[in-house]
Amino acid sequence: MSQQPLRGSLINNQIRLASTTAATATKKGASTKESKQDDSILLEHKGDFTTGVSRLREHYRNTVQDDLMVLTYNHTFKPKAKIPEGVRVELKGNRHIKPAPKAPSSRHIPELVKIDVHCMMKEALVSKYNLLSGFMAIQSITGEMPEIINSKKGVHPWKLRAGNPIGCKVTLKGDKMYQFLDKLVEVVLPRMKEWPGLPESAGDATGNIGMGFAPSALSLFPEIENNFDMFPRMTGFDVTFTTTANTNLEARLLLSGFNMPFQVKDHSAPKAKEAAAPSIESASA
Amino acid sequence: MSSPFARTALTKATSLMRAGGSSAIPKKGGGNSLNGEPRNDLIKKVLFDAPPRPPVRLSPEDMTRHETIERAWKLVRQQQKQAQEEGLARKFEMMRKANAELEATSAQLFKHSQTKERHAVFPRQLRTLTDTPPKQIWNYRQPAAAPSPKA
Repeated sequence: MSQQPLRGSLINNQIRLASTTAATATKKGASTKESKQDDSILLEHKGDFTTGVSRLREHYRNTVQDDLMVLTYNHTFKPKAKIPEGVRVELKGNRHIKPAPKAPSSRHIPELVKIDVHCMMKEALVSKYNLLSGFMAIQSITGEMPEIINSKKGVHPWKLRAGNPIGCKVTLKGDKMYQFLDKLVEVVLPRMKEWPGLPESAGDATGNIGMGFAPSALSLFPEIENNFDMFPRMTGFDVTFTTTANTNLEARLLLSGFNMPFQVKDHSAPKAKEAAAPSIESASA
Repeated sequence: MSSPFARTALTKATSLMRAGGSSAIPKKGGGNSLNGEPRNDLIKKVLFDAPPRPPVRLSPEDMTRHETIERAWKLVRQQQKQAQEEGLARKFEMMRKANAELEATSAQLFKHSQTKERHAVFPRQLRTLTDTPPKQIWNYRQPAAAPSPKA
């Protein structure tokens, strides 16, 4: 029913139907209790019922999206030759073929798709209940119930057996994702001591960026800071930003648009040397 | 994997934790509760054993109202998205025409316009929108931002 488009006649019909059932229910009188219980419908939980405005999403729509469209535009775009079906292309050095970039369009603007927060706790090898602290911490930070990650293979030197619960992971999308990013950028990252920003070359060449946090960073989150003593073990965690960007540059541009700090290095040094060299030559001559 | 039930349990947990006070008193027998850590016991109870919120039940009229509101809001969002996409498409078309004109006019300028800086990022001074203005509107004593290497 909820899939149908908004049509005046349909809604009027539904309201009429609802009002008639209500009218017949009230007419019954003595048996209203039973009819009320029969009539009530269970509200299915379909996603998050958020009513507020997502600050960073609005910022993206108002500012970042337009600028990204201009900054990532390439007028001289040549489509790559498509590899025909069934042909197997092998690259040297175990490299994989990157997906062919699409022609520039107003629809292909880099956008943040999801954020993965993942923590692995070695202490869980000793006892699986040690994982509870990390589990609770990640739930407090992100607001979503994480899923427990079990090991796929066993590694005997590390006392790891296949199928051991070893970590927890949560995938954030939509409002929750922007909320988490907001918290990171506004509260946590500024408080981190001696963190120069993400490296200049950050990115996995297909438009995703990952970063790791030490256990000390966990205590900087307001949710954890307030009840610090209730967490038996502080754990480090990693955050992966998945975007629709095609290159590292696009991914970095996107994240910096949300005030994510990157290390900025000066790349103009050779010019200064060139300017100095002729003056020395002229002085000696 | 989210659920409103977990969220209420969590808020209950935080208030419970604050009431409980700082680091737990060790139990008399030692490693009884979950690897010898009583806090683990509490966390486990809060996360998995706490009873979920009772599900919401609506009368048919309320259900209709709810669905109407949901669909109306969906429609508004759809219209906003469409307007946004149309604006982007217009801007893109103007940009494409401008680039084509530049390509036809001057090859050198066009080439200069297409070369991109590899490590370009938005400036750190970029301000995201807020409900209220900041305490410090503008920092007059801040040193000027480093000039871009290209310039």
